[in-house]
Amino acid sequence: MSSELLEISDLIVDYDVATLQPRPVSRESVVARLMANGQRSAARIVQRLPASNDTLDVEACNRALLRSHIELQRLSEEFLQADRLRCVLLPLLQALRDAGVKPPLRIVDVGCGLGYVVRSLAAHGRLGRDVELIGCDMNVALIENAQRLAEEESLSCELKVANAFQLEQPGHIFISTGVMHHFRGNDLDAFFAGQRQGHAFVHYDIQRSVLSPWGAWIFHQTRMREPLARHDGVVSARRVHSTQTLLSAARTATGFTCASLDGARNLLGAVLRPMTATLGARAELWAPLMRSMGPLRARLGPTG
Amino acid sequence: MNAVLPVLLALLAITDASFCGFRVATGRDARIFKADFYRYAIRRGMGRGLFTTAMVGCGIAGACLFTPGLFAQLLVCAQALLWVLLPYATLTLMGMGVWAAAEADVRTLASVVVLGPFTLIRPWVIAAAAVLGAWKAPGLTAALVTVAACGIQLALEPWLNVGMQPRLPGRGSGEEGARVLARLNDA
Repeated sequence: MSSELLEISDLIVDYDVATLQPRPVSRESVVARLMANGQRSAARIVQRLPASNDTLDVEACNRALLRSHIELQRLSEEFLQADRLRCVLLPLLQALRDAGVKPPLRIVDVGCGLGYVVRSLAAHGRLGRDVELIGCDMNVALIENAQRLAEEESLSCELKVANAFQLEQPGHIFISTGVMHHFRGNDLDAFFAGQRQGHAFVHYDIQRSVLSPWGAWIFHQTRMREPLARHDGVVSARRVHSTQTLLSAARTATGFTCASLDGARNLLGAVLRPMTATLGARAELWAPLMRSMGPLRARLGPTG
Repeated sequence: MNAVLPVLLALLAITDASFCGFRVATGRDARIFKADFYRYAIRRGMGRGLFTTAMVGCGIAGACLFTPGLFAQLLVCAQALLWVLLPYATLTLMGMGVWAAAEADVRTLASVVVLGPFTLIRPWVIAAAAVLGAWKAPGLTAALVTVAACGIQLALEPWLNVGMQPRLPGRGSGEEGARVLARLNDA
């Protein structure tokens, strides 16, 4: 089997980056690619997706992705992901205010999916009136549903089908959850390079440890129903980057001062904190950030 | 003692049904504020749990009327069931208590160590209780009743799952989304 496992969600939808129009995806080619990669169960899941003349049904794929994201939100809720992000965002915003950055302070969620974090922060965040929350994703179906959800609950946030790094009003702080492992090699560098325009970033992803794939399997078996979500959840845990890889890419591409947050130093750490963050800020913001972080500072890894 | 064991088992069955109700609702509603939805789901689970427990109770009462000595045999089985179910239920409830009361890291610990894995092993725990109960049963009828009661409890979650669909926000997310929404609105 190839060492580079593939996620079904990365393969079944494709779109033109410029126009965001869906491009046809051949079911047989996805199945063949998964089979060649030794991922038979994933190939079976794709084989069951509806297609006409071998072209995967875009609506059906989007519905599967939507169901997966709704189930994924349940995991984020259980692991208090929005709360964890809020704890880091509060000192970051304070550092930006202390540095005299002109409001509104824009927090941009990269690859927000159904916008759970942005909507939750808008609902409970208490981040300040000078903060704008923006969620961006390239998937039209997910964003349409995210917008309806925000509208339904009258949440003060913006959800856009857009490239998060090409917004008219660029973000000050970029955030994401479970996104970084989708980018490999040059794409990971490009992901961080896009954030040079901002002042800081906090990107959460699954903690890399020997326990992660087992934990992911247990939680995706017990909490998920969608076969795609069950498959991709476990593969995600096996694909996560090491802290060193992330920090190195982040430092090189942005020039920011970076550190890991909640990086597990032992197995107990991995159990307590299944998600870890890569935190970065412009060098001049780092000292004020450290002053605002309080007890959270003890959870930072080595800075560089 | 004669009354305590069946009452304890009935309470466990109804509590388990309430958790099942909650579980089948989770991951089906992407709103932020959905406490009402979860309360409804827990009540739905509890309602069905009460119904099945009452049915099992009535069935056992009827059987005991026509089979002298069956009740005493069933008490032996109930004791065996509780040897397996009580520690599981106690740990689960403790995990729930910690999750509800503690701060983020401790909550996560409760989820990772207790709530997640214990959800995974629930069917196996009930099956193990059924096997132990049947093995300890002094008679065949008592063994069959024990296995049937456990089977009904196991069937509860799939039954609760029937008709549960993701709650999609508004229309426009495809025909299925519109159908699901219409079903929810009808309900």
